[in-house]
Amino acid sequence: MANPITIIKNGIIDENPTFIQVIGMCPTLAVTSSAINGIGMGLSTTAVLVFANIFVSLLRKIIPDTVRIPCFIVVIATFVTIIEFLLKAYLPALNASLGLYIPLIVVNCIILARAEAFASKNGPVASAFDGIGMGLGFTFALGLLGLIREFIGAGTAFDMTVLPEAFPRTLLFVMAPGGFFTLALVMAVINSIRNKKA
Amino acid sequence: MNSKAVIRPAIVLLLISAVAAGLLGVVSEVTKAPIAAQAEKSLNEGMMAVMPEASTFEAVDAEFTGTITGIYKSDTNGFVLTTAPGGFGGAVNTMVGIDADGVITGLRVTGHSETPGLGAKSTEPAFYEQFTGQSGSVTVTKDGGQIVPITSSTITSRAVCAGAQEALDWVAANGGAY
Repeated sequence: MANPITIIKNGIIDENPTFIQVIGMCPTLAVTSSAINGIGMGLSTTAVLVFANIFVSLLRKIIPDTVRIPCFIVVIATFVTIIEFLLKAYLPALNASLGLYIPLIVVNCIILARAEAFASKNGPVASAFDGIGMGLGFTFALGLLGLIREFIGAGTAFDMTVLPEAFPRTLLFVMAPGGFFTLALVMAVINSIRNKKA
Repeated sequence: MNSKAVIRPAIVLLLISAVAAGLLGVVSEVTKAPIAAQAEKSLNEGMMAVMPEASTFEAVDAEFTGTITGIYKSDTNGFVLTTAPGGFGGAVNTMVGIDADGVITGLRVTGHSETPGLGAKSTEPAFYEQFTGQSGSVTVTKDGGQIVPITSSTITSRAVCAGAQEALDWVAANGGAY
């Protein structure tokens, strides 16, 4: 098994799902209108990723290749639904802020991608760390995008006003087109840094 | 393709699905009561916020008109109505308390998908407290009314007014019958 720290670092930096692999774009663009929304979506996804990875890994020798995708989807959808039930029942405050995104996680291709690319080929412990790394990478990316968008668009950071009222806000950034602009700008910066290193 | 190559994957998929379904059934059964309790608790807290003087509420068995989604009568003979008028990004869920004299005792936006930094400001006291004490008709200043709309979010502001208006109209028309 590879070093857990390497696996986690791989998820956050080297193979960041959003900025490097560019997968899971739908939730990325949809929920990053504020940093808190982005981080909330990221953390819920992380929880599902870890559990889905562990179970796919445990079942990897039983699941025949021909039906692996439906099997993975069933495992993922089951976990998402269980998490949704538990949040609603026991953590209503968290559910109020995340409830909207939970069903979206089922259709997030990051989870299926990790099940297919990592968990179906590695042991449960390594798969759990892969889930944590990829999840945190996703959380970091969504939080960063949300922070930039709400700062430029609404003058706030983590829902607190930071820019003086008189400072003009570029509203476009909290609306849908702003998601594309911000993602493009951040990816351009990251790629230019990576190219310099290489 | 031999029959084994078809049957084994089918059985594995069937087993996994069956286990998943069983697990979901158990979790759903276990969480049913707590979820219902939470929903009732948050509804009650919301109603207490829009009608502080009341202490108990009872659902009214009436036909919902327009975007009304719920009608409750308080022990003080007032009504709390939930409405879902259309805003900029979808329905804007509002909860309006109206006392026995037809005066709004409070209003809250309980759920929305409006733009952050714009329409989302409808959940801030500076906006929703304007509704407290209003009666008869509520519209934004742009439409000749008394509610100062959220800057650049007239659509959201109008939606909240429309929700409050529906509640006021319902109470005016049907309040006496319940």
